[in-house]
Amino acid sequence: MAAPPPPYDSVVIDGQNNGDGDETVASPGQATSPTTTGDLVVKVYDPVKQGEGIGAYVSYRVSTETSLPQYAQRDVEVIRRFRDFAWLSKKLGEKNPGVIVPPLPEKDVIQKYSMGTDFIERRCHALNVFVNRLCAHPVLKFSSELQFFLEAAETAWQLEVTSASADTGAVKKGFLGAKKFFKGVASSTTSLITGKTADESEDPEYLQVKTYAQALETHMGEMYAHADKLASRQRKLFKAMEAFGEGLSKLGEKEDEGSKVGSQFVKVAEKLLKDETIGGVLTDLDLQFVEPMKEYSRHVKSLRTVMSDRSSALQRQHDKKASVESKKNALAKLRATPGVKEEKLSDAEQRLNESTRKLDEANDRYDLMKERMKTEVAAYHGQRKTDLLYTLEGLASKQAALAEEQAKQWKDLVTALTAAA
Amino acid sequence: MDSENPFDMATEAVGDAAGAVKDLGGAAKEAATTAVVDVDPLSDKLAESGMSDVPFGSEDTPSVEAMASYDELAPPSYEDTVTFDAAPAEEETSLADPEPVKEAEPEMQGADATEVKTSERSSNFEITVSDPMKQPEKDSLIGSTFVSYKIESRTTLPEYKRKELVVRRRFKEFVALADRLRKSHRGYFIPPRPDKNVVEGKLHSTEFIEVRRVALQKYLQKLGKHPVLSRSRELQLFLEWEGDISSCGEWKEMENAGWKAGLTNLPKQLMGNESSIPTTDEAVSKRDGTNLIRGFKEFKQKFKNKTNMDDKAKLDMDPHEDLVEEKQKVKDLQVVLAEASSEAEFMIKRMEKVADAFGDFGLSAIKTSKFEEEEGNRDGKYSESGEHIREISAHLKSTGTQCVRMSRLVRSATENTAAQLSHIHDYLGLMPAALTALRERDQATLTYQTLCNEMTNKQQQVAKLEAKSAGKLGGDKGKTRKVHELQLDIEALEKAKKAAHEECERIAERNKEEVARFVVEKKADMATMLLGFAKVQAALWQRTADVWKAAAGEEEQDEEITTENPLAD
Repeated sequence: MAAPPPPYDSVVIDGQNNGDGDETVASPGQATSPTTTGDLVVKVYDPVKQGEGIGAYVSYRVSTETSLPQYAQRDVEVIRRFRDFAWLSKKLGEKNPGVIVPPLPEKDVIQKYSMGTDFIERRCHALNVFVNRLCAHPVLKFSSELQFFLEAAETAWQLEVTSASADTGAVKKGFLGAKKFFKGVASSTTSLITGKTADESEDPEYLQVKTYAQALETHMGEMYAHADKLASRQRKLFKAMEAFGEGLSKLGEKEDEGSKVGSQFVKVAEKLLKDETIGGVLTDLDLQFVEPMKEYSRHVKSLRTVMSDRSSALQRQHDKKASVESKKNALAKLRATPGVKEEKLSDAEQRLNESTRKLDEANDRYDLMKERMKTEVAAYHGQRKTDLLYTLEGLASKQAALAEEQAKQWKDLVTALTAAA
Repeated sequence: MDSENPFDMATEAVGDAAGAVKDLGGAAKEAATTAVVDVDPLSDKLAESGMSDVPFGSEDTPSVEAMASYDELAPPSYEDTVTFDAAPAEEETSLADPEPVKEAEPEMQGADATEVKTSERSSNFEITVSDPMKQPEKDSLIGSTFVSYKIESRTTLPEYKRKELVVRRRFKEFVALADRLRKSHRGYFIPPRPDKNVVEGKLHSTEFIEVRRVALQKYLQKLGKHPVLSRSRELQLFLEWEGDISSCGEWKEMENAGWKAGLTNLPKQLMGNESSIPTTDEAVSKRDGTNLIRGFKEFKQKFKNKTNMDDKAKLDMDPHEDLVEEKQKVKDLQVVLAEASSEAEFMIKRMEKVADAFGDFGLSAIKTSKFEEEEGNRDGKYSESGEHIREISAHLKSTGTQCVRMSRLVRSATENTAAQLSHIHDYLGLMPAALTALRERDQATLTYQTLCNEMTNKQQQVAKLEAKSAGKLGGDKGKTRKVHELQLDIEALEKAKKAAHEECERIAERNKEEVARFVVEKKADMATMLLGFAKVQAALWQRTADVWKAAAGEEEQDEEITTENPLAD
């Protein structure tokens, strides 16, 4: 397991470098099977298509092995579907400001309908990675939402999830819509009152990191696109080689029966046609190289989401400040007015208190995010490093192994051809 | 393994490839005219992404040309090429700087070119076509031009007075050469000449001229390799005659091959629709468009053959069953070759695409690496994040560099594979020539049959006339004269028939010769191709393994990539 970043409550800025841990063990980002021997081990597997047509969906098994005391049982298995994971992701984001919640695979509505095996396998793999990342996170690991997700029986789960969506139901769209709009606007909105963008009052160091993250997303996206292209073109090449093998086979038949060159044709054609290892390697390449690159690219988005949340929080703080100011002024004015009613005064005082409370909330939230992000960002980079190294090293070693095998086979063929000559 | 320098073989074959294959990826085409290794499309991309300007680590800023000496990015070296030799020791002595492609032929052998070795085909010539020049058309009112090519040849053939020759010819004259050979060497598999059809505008484009030049060279080289055609008078005049070849009398006469005066020349007679008795020369000549009457007659005959005879009867009439079979074999082979050819082309295109993909991924990794390095340094040397980021940068650089190397490897393998597989395209190109040669025999047979029928006709006419005049007193002067004329015709026909029959047999002989030669050569060429293909694959995978193993090793040591040969030990 990638060594967990230091717990957030013991953070020191230029902290100890204990993020490197044991690099030989699989990182969560690579998980196709339980990665950790630890107190919480989770596996997402066995995707099964349920139902037909428009109502169809895919179910996944989520199995948990844990020694954590808060869990009801050591071993538990539940069945979940994609929207359940989405619920979990959303809740974790809401309840843990400043924490980088790992990314979910895309909704990808269109592919969902075709529900090819390939797509389903990849999605299962990606969900497994998602959950494993949660289990590796020092804060998220202990969240009650995660626990509920992992162990709640079907009825209890349905109750919670449907009531959650019912609550926000009709309001949901409106609220979420506004929230999104607000989020999107936050970083570029100039405060009406102060005339500044909220971000300008941020630590310039932090702003630099924000710029970096934006550019990083582009880079990672590009790398992923090229990785995908590489894998798909390799697939196509091997198909073409097979077809060529067939052509050679037919061409060889035109030679005299039992002739030397005839048998040489057969040998080469066989090599091209009967190579069974290639298929496995290509799938491997997809799952162990392309998919991770895709996930790393999405992970940057998670980072940026947190950053934009922070901007929103900062904006909110400014707004609340402004609000408190204006209420103070209003109160002062009232007080200065002769013959003002008691009611009015107390009303104004109440409003001021309310605003002040909200300001405190906003301050707390923002400060919490700021504090958390220090470790989160460092941990993010540490995790990213571990993951990326693992992927790249895996790529190199797997490619080397494949190449050696192929080299041997072709060399043997050369020997056979030369001998027959 | 091979005593020959593998690069020479590869590059010679690459020269072949360019001409024969039409739509092969640009890499193969380039390889025909440039050194195999120098093509590195990546340096353009590197330049485009501004990489050449930004120092990598603490290196001095190189220019794009100096990329080759750039330590951080392994330059295209022979490591990045795919050659045959698996044994490291051999590789060290083989070319680090491969020679530029020579279009010249491999070593020449004695005049006895009928013996065919397994993988080397001897040639009587070394021929190059070069230096295309625009020249003004004589007597042209509008000042049109044509392109002439310099042809340099070296030969040891005794019939050539000088052993080193230089002449200039234009495309029209190549066509004339091909036409003459066709007429005088019926029955041989005559290599097809480069295509004529060209869009008017394209005629003078530099690219087109270059393509044509290469094709013309290949054509002459092929002729030079043919045991019979290389000894032909036509070729000799073409290569030897100094100055404008249209002023050569012998050359001009060859145009009317088969019409030379020499043997009997009967007066033509009009007999109903039929108008001429073929001369002996005509009887042995290839039917071309100019003798419409003969054409019509033979067509009638062919039709008659088709409708009146069943296959068995046809075969009975045809003493050369094996050649009939051979024709069908050629047709079948053509189909299979065409398939294999297009599959080969497709595979090679896909290989190239993989090379591109490696390159693109590698470059994006390197770009990202540099980006991360900047951030990692800015973040403060001792911050935890900074350290992580710098490590990421280092690994991305390493992987990116390896992928760039992979790209070059695959590209080089693509070129070599195309070269190896060019045999398929060559043989496909030869199929029409083989069919034409085999059909010549059919043509000649048809001529012979037509003559037979004519003769039978005339004999019947004689019999009829004699029967008629037998009943008249004192004979019929008119009829007697007619009979006499007929007798003369029959005599001439007899001679023509004989000559036609001889021509049939001669062509059949040549066909058999060529078929035997074809079978032997094809066996050898196919064997060479298969072995060469397998060798390139083996070398490619071996190098690939080396690249990736080096990557894994480097990541542990955190070393920079050098240009050392990882195979040297």
